[in-house]
Amino acid sequence: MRRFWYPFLLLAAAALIGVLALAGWPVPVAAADVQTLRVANELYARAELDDAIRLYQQLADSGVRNIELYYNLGIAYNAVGEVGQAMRYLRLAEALAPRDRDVLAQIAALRAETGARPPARDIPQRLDRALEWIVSIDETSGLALGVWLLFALLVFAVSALRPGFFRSLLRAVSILVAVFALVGILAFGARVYVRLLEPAGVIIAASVSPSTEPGAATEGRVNLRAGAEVAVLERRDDYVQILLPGSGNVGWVPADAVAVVG
Amino acid sequence: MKRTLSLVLALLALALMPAVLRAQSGNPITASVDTTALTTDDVLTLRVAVAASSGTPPQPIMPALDGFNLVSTSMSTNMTFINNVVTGEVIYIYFLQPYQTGTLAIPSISVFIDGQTHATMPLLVQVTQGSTIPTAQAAPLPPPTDTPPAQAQRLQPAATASGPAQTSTADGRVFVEAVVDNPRPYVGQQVLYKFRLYQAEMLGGQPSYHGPSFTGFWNNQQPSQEEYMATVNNERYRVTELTNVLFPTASGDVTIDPAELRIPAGFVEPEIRLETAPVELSVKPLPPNAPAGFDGAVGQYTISVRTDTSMIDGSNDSVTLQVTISGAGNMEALPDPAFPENSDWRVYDTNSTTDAEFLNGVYRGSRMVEYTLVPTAEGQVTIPPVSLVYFDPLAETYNTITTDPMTVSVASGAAQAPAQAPTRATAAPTQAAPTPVPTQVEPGVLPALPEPKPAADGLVSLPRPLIQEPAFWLLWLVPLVAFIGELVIRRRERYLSANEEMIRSSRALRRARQALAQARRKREDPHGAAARVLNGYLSDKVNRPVVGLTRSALTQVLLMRGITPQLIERVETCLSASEAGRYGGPSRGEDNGRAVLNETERLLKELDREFAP
Repeated sequence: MRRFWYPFLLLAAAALIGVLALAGWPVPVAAADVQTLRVANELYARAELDDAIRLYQQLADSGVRNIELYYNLGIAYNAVGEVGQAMRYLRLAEALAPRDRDVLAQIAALRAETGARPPARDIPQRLDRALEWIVSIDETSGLALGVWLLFALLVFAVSALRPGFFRSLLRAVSILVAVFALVGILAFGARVYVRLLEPAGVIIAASVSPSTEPGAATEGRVNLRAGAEVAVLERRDDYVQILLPGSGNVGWVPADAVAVVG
Repeated sequence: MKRTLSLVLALLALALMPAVLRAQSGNPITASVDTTALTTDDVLTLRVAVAASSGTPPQPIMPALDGFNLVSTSMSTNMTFINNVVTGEVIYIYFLQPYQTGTLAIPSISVFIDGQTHATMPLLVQVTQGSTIPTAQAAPLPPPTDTPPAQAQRLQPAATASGPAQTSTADGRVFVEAVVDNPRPYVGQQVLYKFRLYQAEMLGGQPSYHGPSFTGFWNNQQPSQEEYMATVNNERYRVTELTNVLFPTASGDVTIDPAELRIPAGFVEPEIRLETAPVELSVKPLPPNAPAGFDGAVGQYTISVRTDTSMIDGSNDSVTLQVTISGAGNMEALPDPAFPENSDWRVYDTNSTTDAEFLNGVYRGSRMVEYTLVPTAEGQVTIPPVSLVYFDPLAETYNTITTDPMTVSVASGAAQAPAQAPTRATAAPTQAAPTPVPTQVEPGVLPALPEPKPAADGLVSLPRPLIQEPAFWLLWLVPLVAFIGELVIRRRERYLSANEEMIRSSRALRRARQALAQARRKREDPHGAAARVLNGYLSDKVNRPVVGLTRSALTQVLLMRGITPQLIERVETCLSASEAGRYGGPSRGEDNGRAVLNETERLLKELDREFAP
């Protein structure tokens, strides 16, 4: 009697999975956008970089979220010397395709110019750094949710079965899955924490000097150049507090000097 | 909004369509290689085809081919005569030998046609180490050069004489010939190859011309065209003459393949194919005992020099020395004169540009070589003279031309240590420093950019991240809801199990009323229903069946539960009336039954009030 609502739960879960699949399924890029991307590639190949960037940027601004677009825009910006924007879009490409060798190679080459990233200052950031080159945030989210749902399913299956070999087997499997679910939830939590509270950012202004307070005069002792990678810790009015590369100190810079990529 | 965006994109696509179509299908310049994987022992064949819808195609602008030595080049032409206008395609073949391993890029090759720049896609080839270790040429030639070894072997010794080779139509009214102006040139000396089409009558179709490959010659120019009238054997002909400028690249006997002209089939006539006779030349080697510094320049040249500044101070740290060589000869293949070793100056970069044309039967022009010089000494520092040694084939002598020395004033502190690179904007990047990303593209010199990712047909746009989807978070809650629900249900079941008596008692009135309502609705026997409801209520309340109890036993139980005797008496009366009604027959009447039901309902209410405490 008490399990009369299980079918409803399963139905609700299936409906939500369906909704999520529909919402999360990649959508084909419109033919006009593909055409625009091809034209931009053609312009890029002819080294007409400003025109290529204009078209790439137009696509990115219109909401196309695509590895090819971000990568091409990144290398095009790099070719014209806009290192900040180059790093920004290459990091966005990396977020979508963390195992893409081209993207990783370009980012590594840029980092050789722009310097090290800020140090990971807490456990979530360390976990995030450890995972970011293996799985994307979407993959982490999907895996964690999948293992969590599987664990729940196994628990209910075990409770519904009568004692016997199959129940014992399922119980052992559910313990194993519970471990994976725990790991998945920890990893997922860390990555969500970093993205919500300490997202990565890239300096896109040509040069900026952090100050100790929002809007305070800078002493100019620290100067961040375009392409430098930071972590954005807090936003106040038109300023953001960032974790500086190298030292791990914090400072305030104008919000429009930083692009969030995490 | 979305609609507007779609409209804008569609309009943009329409606006860009011509460019795309031109780029994809109508690009007048194409480049291809015979292989994309080779070793340093191999020779790569780069084929560049340039087409023009009218007139002769212009010459492509070749970028720097880093990692390759240019072994040789050749050119062929496919021409079509339409209303005495020549249209067609020129194919340039470059034989390249890699001297570096890894992925080498052949950057875009561009051509300027009708006010527009067209370019090829960059090409990549994978080079692995071969058995030999080739090195970069000390003075790599610009675009075109000579013959590849494989082709050079095909050159057979032949007769040295040249002469008109005619092949005509059956009636002799149309014929072709090929001649050279100098059958015994020196290596590097200009030779003019002329193809002539003689027409005593208008051709029915549009003939197409297929020029020789000019193997063994440097040949980077498309043929120039000339029209004139001539008399041959007392007959007037319209002559179309195509002239190629050639420079032999190796000594020995060389044969120029026949040129071919095809006149397409007419309404009744079959296709006519005219072919010139091969042209044979005997190329003389350059005289021995060339002076030191001779690097293969052949022709007649003069030299001049200038600098962009006479002073180096805090505002600049380098000087650009421009050495210009002018004259007649193969300007593109002219080696850049070496800047003399000098302790006062360090050369950081050398750039050269060539401007040459075929004019009045001579290929002439100028080549400007720019040296970026950084001083390593202070004060009045002298730029040493720069020399070029060349062979004059007309005078048959070697000559040396030299620039005048120049003096530049270098301010104190402006001189740099030898390892430092110039920092002025005009200065080119050093070889030691990391190569900065170019911010501007030099015309004709396209940088080797990383390959963009292609825009495939099935390109997808990823939706927003999962963590921004409400359904994602709701899915996390489903197992939690199930766990909590399971917990609540189990606890309630335990509670119900432990408090069954109390729960039964508390629900007695509600159940009794529901039963009464149901009896009325279904028009059951009111007497029977009243007895069943009342007995059921009392059973629930005292948590034991009362149907089998005697009246006195029931009275005793109810008294123990605190029910007043008056109410007990009314209960007994009601139960008796019900019993009488059930077994007393129809005379008891419907009204009586309804009264019993009403009394039962009142009794339930009052009993429940007295049971409550």
